[in-house]
Amino acid sequence: MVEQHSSVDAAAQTKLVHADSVEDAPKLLREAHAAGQAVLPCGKRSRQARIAPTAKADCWLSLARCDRLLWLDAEDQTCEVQAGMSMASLQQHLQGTGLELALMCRGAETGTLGGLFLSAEPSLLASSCGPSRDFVLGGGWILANGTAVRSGARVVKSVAGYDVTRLLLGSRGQLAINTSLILRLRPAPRELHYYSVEAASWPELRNQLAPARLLFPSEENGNMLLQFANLKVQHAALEPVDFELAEQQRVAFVGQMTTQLPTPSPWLEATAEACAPGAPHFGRRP
Amino acid sequence: MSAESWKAQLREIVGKDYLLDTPAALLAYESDALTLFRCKPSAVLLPENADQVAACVAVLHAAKVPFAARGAGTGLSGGALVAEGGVVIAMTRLKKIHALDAERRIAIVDPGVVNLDLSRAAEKFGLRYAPDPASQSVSTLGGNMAENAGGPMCFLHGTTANHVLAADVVLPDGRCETWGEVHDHAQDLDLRGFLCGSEGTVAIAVRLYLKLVPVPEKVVTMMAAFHSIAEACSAVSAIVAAGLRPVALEVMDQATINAVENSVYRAGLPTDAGAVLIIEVEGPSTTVEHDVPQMEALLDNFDLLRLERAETPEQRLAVWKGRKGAGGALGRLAPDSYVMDGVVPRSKLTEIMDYVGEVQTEAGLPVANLFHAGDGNIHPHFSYDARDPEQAAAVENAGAKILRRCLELGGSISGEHGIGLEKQHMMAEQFGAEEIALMERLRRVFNPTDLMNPGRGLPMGSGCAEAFHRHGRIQNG
Repeated sequence: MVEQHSSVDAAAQTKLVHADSVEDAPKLLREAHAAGQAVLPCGKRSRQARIAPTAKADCWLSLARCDRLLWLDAEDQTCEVQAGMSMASLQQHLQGTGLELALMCRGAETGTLGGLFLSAEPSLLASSCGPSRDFVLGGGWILANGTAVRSGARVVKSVAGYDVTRLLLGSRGQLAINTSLILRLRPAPRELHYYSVEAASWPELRNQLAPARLLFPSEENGNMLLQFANLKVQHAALEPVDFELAEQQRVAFVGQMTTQLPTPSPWLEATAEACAPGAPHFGRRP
Repeated sequence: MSAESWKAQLREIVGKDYLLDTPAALLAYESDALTLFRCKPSAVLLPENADQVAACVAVLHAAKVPFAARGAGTGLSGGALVAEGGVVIAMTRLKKIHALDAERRIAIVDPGVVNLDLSRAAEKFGLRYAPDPASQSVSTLGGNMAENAGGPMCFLHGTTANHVLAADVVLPDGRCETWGEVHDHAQDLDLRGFLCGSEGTVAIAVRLYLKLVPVPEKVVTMMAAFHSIAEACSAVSAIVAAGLRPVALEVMDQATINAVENSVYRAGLPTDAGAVLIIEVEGPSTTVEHDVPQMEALLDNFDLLRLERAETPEQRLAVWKGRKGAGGALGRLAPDSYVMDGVVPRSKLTEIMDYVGEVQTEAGLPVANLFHAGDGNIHPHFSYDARDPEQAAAVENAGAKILRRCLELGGSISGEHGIGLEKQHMMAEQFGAEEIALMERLRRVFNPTDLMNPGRGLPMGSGCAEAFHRHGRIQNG
């Protein structure tokens, strides 16, 4: 059943249409095609500025209501979710399995997973776990003519045919509408260690972290991390933002941590020793 | 344009010594490591740099001559063969490591650089290139990218596509572009991702920007010997289910162990074992020191023949020499080899291995099994004689049966070798007509004249397959 809403963007006179099921979407696309209307797919539109900042459309087609877990193979550490599922909902489904989707992205609580992957939202875990799109093994799509296709496979490794998944994810909804995602999961870290790092500027922070062999893929991403950290510090009462330091260990930027606790690894001890007085502290979070 | 005319233009570009067209010189380029398919090109080009590659492609495009890029020729799916009358562009002279940026962990390399050479060069910075196909001591990074190669370490680190940040490419008409961004994972269209595994059918990479990873603080390699392959597969499931994350989980069966132990790759593997499982754990010392005893305790629940740790770097190297040399060791057993490549969900490993055994009995040919158990990526290795048409047909039939079962179990017809010529006929069994039509449309967008590595990766039109000689020794005498 398709539910049509009144315009959500008065200036652009754009209609928002919700597909209540994936099966609705092809019909809607065909109708729009016949009427010569431009359709822009969306979820909850929380990342629309990132996905299609300049795109103009006659109609938004939202798949936010298509939010089911299609299957979960805990033994193979894979699952398939509909594009409208949220990260929080996936985490609920994964409770008790010991698995996680190794992503830490801005706005993961509010948006849909489809939007998260289409926007290639930077993940704070990217330095060790890879960028967000590396977790997508395949999925379901609807082409502009309403044809439903699938890409990839439900196994962790497949090189059969072109990697259509990456191309379509990268098209940000301009080549096809994403309806489902086959995701690679991983065992959740056994324990988390948090470390405080304090610096006045990005270059300084980068220098301070260099001995710990952390990787910032770019200054841009690094700035993103800092901004993110500041935001969280400001709004979450020093709730740390963490990103993976090494396998099963995580480092966090927390505004200021006064207690330096024992370090769990010889190289971290070396790093802590290398830091001058007043420099960032590395320590286990209580 | 006559053949003499375009050959003259190509000689002008690469130099007369680097256009090969004598029958003897062409012989080495008539197949890759999958000898099931053979086709002699009309010429082989050995350009020296990216500009020469682009100029050669422009000439071939204008002359409407099909062409295919080739690395070291270690591919196992016939991906680097070109149809009769076509030209092979061998990339092996483009072998410079242009930059190793230790701070950003990026390598900028030519496509002809050998995989292992990059890790060796990066080692002094405490870095390495993670994808490690068994052929890594000879295969090139460009070829690895074209096939999206994997390897034992991919269980933890992912395949080549996860490690290619960007590539300078030559399009099928000779124009040059850069696909991907070194600093930005959020690439529009992600042409870099599409390029990986496209088997040289959409562009030729002439420079690669690759991600490097740190050499781990600690590495422990273990070898567990089991009575049967089924027990080894069960152990793999148990390790994964326990939430442990080794970097590699590799299984070799008794036939493989015996071949290795009777070859120069001898690694001291137990020849009385039904199968061995090689487990490698890497990471910070604390993680490794926690995980290894846990893994050993878990393995103790099985009826093991042996459980050993490689205590020294030399012992570890010996184990891996045995594993990575296994293909070569098995190659000595018969005039020809057929190394299959299929994937199943790892929970179905025991099931697929049982089926491989059934097919082996039916085919009446020796099969050895060595596989990336952590990824569910199997590699049954058939030893046969291609001069015997019955054996050749039996091998092909057995391969198709195993791949069909992989699909029935929810898997894929290729995990890391690619489709090439070998599996085109199976594509329609994994994908529907709409999916294949989409891939064909995409190929036409990038390669409208279909001169760049024509008829590879997707089902060919009827009659095209005859352009390649199957079981070449029979047909070519």
